[in-house]
Amino acid sequence: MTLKKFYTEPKLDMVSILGPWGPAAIPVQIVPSSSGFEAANRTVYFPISVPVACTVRRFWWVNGATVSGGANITMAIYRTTSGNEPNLRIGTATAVQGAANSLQFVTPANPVGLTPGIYWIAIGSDSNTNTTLFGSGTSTTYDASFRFQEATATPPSNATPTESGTTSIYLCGFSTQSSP
Amino acid sequence: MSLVKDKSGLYHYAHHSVDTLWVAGSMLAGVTPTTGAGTFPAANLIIYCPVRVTKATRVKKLWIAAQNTAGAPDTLVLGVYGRGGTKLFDSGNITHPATSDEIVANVTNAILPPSLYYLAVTQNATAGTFQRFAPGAPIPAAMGLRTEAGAGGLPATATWVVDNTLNFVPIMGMLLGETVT
Repeated sequence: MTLKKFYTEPKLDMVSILGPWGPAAIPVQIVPSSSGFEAANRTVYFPISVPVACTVRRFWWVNGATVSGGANITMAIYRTTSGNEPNLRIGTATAVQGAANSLQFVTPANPVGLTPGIYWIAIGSDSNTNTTLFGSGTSTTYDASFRFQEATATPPSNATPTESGTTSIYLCGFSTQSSP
Repeated sequence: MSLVKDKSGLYHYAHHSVDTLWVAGSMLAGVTPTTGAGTFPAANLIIYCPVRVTKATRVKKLWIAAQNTAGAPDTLVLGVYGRGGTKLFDSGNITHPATSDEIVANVTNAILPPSLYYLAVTQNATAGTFQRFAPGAPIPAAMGLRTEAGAGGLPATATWVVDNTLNFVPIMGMLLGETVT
């Protein structure tokens, strides 16, 4: 049965882990709130399903109420080269955490073209002291479905993901537009 | 006929309303903010809400969820913009009614090809009350909503910004049929 001829998926402007292209496996409806980043020097990987060709022009995350820790936040996007897990970093950008309770955008050195497929959004921080992001916890009983982690503040060029040890989902993603 | 893939990966037929309530919208499918009555955030503010149109669609009407208002009869305008910020059509001025119901406005059978669009609403004062989602700021900005400090009505070209203070997500949409009035 051919479905595609009936169906055209528009390109989104703001792509989020919690948006329509995010992990369908997240089994609960949540309301993100300001909460502390889970651990210093950690990167977390979340899958997204990209159904249409698009370009990553900026990454973004949402700062929580406390940003005085001056954490270095790094975003990245990975594709799978083997094992159906995050492997190869194809774009990244970093910045010191900025204004509280605000979206913060960072621009990669070069736009990253994506073809339809599964990718992984990564967010890492070198601090969890006075470092909050908008996000939500879920459950250790099913976090394997939507996240991996790695003990590094900076998403590396080649990921070595490990089993998730906590349940946080962070409100972050990328924009296919240069502005606003 | 159109098939739409929802967040769980299932395909289903497009329905009669393209709006900010359905997963087929482009916002945070995993987020469940509270709903309730709220006054419009600021006079002449324009709120732009992204929605996905997945097939060529003939739009018959625009609608928004209104709440009974004891205040002055404010004037609002609904509209649709392309992803580049160009206004495609609007409702013209509508007087905010003193009832709790959908406000429905006819439009001229506009046909939209598949793309991302922005539903827009503005009101000339804050007394006119709406039913809306009320997630804490800046969640609506992360959902892809944008705003503009308008000067009355909807401009031909949006000058929209990321608004980290917005905590008001209109419940609004485009109707593809004639029944609702």
